[in-house]
Amino acid sequence: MINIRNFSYSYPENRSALKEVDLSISSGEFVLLAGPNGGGKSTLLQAILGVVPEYYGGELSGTITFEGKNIGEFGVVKLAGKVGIVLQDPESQISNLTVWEEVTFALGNLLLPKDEVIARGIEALATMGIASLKDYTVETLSGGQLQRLAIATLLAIRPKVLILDEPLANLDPLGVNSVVEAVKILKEHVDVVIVASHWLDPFLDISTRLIVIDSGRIALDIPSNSIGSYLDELRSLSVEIPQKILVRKMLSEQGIAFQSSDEPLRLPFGATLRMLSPLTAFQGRIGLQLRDVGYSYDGNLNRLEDVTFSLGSSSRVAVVGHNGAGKSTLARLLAGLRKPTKGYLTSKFSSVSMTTQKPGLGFITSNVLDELRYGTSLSVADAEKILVAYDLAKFAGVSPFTLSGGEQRRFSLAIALATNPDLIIMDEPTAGMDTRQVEFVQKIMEGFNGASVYITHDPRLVGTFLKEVIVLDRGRLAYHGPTAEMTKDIFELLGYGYTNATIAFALRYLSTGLPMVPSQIEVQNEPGI
Amino acid sequence: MNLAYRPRKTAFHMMDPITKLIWTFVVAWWLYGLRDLKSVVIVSFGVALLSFLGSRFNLMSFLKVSGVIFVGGWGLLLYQGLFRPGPGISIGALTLSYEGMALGFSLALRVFGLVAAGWAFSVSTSPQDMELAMVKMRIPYKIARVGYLALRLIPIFQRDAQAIDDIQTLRKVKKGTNRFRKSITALIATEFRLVDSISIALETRGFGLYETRTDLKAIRISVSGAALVIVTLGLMLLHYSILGLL
Repeated sequence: MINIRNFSYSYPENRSALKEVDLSISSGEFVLLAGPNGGGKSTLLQAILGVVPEYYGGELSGTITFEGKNIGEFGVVKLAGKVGIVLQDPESQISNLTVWEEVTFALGNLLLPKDEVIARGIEALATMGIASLKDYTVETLSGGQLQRLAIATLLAIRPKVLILDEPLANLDPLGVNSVVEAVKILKEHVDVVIVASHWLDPFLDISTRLIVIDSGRIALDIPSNSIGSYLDELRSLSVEIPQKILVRKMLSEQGIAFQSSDEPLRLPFGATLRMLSPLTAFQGRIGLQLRDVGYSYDGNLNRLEDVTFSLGSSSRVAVVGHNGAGKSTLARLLAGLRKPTKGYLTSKFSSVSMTTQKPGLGFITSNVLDELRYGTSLSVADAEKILVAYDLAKFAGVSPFTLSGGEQRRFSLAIALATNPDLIIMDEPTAGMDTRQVEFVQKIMEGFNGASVYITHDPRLVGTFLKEVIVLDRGRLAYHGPTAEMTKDIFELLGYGYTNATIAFALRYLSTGLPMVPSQIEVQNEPGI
Repeated sequence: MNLAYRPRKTAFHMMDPITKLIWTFVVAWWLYGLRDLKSVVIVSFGVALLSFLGSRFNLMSFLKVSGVIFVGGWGLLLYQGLFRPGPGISIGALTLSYEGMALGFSLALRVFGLVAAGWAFSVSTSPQDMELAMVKMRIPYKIARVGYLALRLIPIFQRDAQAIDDIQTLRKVKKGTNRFRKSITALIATEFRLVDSISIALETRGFGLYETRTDLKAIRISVSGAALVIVTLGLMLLHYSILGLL
């Protein structure tokens, strides 16, 4: 269906993005696309859509054909109805104000008769399980519902190929579950599904093929069910090893059968799962205390209610919860940007830094070096050293707004730490980052002595790097403590029980002490068994 | 957003956007033509009351904005009072003329009435209806869509503007024009990245493929809307004739 032959592409200014790519994708395939940031995944997807070179210019050689016709002959808009894409950010792809307007938007553009527009719109919403949201405004939908709506909109026009570019980034576990279920349904309606994702676990059982792109080339192209034989290759390509594979491998080494992700783990009689790493909670002296804190806008809409907890002066804590749970409001209260409308908040933190989901919003100067030094006592030489450490030295003289998304995220961390804060608050600091970059963030933050608060659901952080967690539920504190001591109820509240195989099987056997990743699990036999 | 459309079942929500738009123009014309303060007070407050009762907009939000208008109105009042000749109140060496103050006050009141009418229009008209109305007025749907899209993006921009303000506060950027300039730069540069995504999303959904599109709704002139326009126009003409303005 899609044939890519000896395809190379360079963005303007000779920035090479794809090199001699040869690839054929047939009807019925579900392709999982992985690889490090900047490796060429997004460019390849854009090439299949015809976006490059149409949008950005640049040089290309080789061909991409869809059903035997050169993609270039179509143009992006003429591919509508044949190839569709669900983008990483749900907000930027929804252009209507209500669910019904959105799901019928593309059908109307394709000039389908009114009756057919209505019938297909209703069918697509029902297929995606969001028919009950038909009259909702999109503002009221969660991230997962928005992604389902984006999928429904494309499903309605019945494309042959559907591309999903990092569809799980920024979603909470319930959102992840919702989108993965939607993608499973999608497979029955679309000839070819291509998903680009740093997180392979959720798609492992439904994909047929894994393609890894690195430095613009196809570095690995294997059937999904043989991933277990390529762990070393995946590691060297900075691809997150699926937890299911690790769990299976670890358990099989201990003589325990793990049938499949849908089957319960079969532990020998009396065998238990035990935490390897010690439980971690409060760190250092008290840095900040909240007592019965509430916050409301205009005196009527409560964002936070009766929140009580303490934060250590060197705590490293994750704040999790669904959309509207009050995470951003809590972050602003902790940063001192808002005052509680109820209760007490006392803080010993004198210097607070913050990073946002869109790092560019925090930039205030016109070049990277000045930006880093702004409001600090850093000398030029010291600032340059920091840029080297963050692999940003070559950008010292350019505008921070021209950096790529990953570079901006890294740079915003450097800026936040440059002021020597004693509290740093980060909103989704690793969204869209590959394993190598996540490890970089962890390394940097391990050297930070103050308290750090991460608003994130990234499974690569929560539970392993972040062992303390604050769980918010509709403005109330549902849990605060070690992730390992979260109860089954809390896991289910967050939706982890359904999206994470490790948690799923652990849930079946333990009511407490839930580990987040396999490296923290040890399966042992009780003496005498 | 306080000015954002909210689906409700008020009299204004039941009207079509075209007659509501015409009504807003009639009201503007009426207010513009008035000269004496008494008439301006009656018509402005009448329009504001009708707008509120007809659309049930958020009174608190409206009054907050009205407060700003009246603060601005004081400036107009002082300006007009100082520079219009005639009898007035003496404050030291300065004389504020009654005529000038009345003119300044009536200018502020006219803005107040117009804002109320516009507010009612905004909260009671769905962007899609507005788009369809524009298409009915023979404006190409691709152009009509721009306004709709802007409304969709406003909440995102508002949220991001808040994030900018928070970060700049933490980074101790001094308040003032310079901070405002930095904020605008950050907002534009960041949201510029949205443009590609929006374009790709629109194009892959067939936007612009044909000159027209299938619309599920059709805009028809509502009886209530037409009646409101006719009654308002009649009252205006009657009022003008009483005042001898015709």
